[in-house]
Amino acid sequence: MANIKNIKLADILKVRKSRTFLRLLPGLTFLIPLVLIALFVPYFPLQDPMKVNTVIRHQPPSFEHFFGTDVIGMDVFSRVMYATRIDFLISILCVLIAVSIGAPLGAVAGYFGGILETITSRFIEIFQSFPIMLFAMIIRIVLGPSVICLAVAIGICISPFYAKLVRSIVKPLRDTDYIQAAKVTGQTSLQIIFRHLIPNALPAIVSQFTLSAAVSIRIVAGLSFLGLGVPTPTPEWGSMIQTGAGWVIFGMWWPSVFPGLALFFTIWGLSQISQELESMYTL
Amino acid sequence: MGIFLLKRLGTLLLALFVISLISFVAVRSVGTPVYLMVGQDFTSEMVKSINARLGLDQPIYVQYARYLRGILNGDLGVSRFTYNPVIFDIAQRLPATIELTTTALIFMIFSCLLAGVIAALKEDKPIDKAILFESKVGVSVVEFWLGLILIYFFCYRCHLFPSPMGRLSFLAPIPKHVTGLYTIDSLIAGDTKTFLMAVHHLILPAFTLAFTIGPGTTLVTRATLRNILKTDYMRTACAFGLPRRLLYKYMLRNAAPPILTVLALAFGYFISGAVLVEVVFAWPGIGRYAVDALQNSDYEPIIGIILLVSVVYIVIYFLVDIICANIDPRYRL
Repeated sequence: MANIKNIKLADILKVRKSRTFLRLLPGLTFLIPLVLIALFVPYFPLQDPMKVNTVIRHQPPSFEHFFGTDVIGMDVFSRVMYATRIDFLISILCVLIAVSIGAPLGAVAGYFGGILETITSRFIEIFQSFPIMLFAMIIRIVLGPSVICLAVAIGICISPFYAKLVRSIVKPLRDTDYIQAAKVTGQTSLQIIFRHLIPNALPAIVSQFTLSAAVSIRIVAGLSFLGLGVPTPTPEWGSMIQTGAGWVIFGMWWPSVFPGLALFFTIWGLSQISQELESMYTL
Repeated sequence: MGIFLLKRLGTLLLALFVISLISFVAVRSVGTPVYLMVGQDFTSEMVKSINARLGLDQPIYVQYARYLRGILNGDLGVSRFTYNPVIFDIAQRLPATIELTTTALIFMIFSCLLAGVIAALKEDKPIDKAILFESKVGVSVVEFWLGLILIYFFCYRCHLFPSPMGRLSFLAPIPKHVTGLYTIDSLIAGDTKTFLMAVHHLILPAFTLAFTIGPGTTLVTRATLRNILKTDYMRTACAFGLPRRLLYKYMLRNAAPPILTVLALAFGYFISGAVLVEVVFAWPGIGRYAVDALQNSDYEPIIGIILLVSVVYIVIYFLVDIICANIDPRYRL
């Protein structure tokens, strides 16, 4: 048994690079505080994020309201903090849905080959050739206004990427000895796919998680800015930017700028980590 | 080349068919105007007659065939809040979006493409790291937020750029309609004042679009050129002492397919990102038309616009594929 003191982060993540934690640190400095905020924000001593008080509307940042108040008097600071939960939740859901749709599709296409593979890859190419934002808009219009439908819509938009990735990994594995042996010993195709093929694709999939999370947060913010995202009273960065947008030319910059800063730091942290993870998982 | 062309044409037609199916499903799923037309006191015979008149009681494939025929004739439905046919509204607003996306494309080619080339040529020097940092910032910034910040600084604080009220100032004369693009029309009419005003209004939105969508191009250009500079044939060419311009020619010809592909992708992102930027800058283009339709719960214009934009995007992608296959024979496999 390995000594517990010698287990490093590289072993847990199953990569073979040195100084793993130090390489991930630049991205994690942004991401860890945000994750902590998302998890523990109900316990912080913040103002009520949904409390409407039109007497104190349009107040600039002050000691009482750190980020000011918006057009109907809601405190921007607490809304930005609470919006962290919704955005992280939606992006995690989107990535999970995208992987669970895309990875089996790609594995099936890569393993069975022939006409199934041709049809599936044509569909993947077609779905990838739409502009993502418009595709998400149309699926969201068809599905309806709830949060789950939003996550499903964005998950469907991101899944072709995972399907293509898994297919490109699974296809060369079809002719290896151990897969042939598994077929000969009578394992069903389903068992082969889920027990042998997809675990081979897992490192690549995991290395793309954070990038897909960043993409899905951008799409969620964009859809909420258009009004197609999370229903209104729930704080969410994109819809907060939208409610503050009309007031910027009158000089009230704080309802829009601070949610955008939060978005910036989240996407920055996620894309930093994704760059490092990609360089760690590729040979 | 011929077989490749046929295969890509087949994929193109399949893609158009799939988009038309998706938009047909979307149009049917948001509902039919039957109960609006019938009114409050209705009988089932009235509903049946209206269904028959609209063709809604026929089997689904007949309805789809009628929808397809309507689209090919240009009938994308009627907008419920402007009371115009959707195609008329789109034709009115399309030049604005074309002006914005073309200017953003020009900005992007002259800044991000050039930056990618410089970053690849001067590998690992400070300028490379600076360009990489700027690309990371561009990827993390959201376009509507950047637009709002630019408006705040340059309009409200510094008064350098005009406030976001559209393509020209409030009471400015609109140049005579030749192409619909205010910049070109005012040049044709010889009116430099209007031309300068149109350009003045264009700069901020185009810069926002180019800054947020350009980094993709920069990174792909940089990666492609870096890979090419490390290849054997480039090393041999340098060792032979070939003149600079021949080296650049070899580099460009090999780098062209990925760069063209990513430019086509960027154009697609422009069209979808232009929706958000048009809303922020009150630009009267098709993106803002879609958002206005959304806020009036009118789904026909949105689906029409999505159909149109997807078709344009797929056709552009197809043309870029043909050009890439022409340039690089290895692409035809």
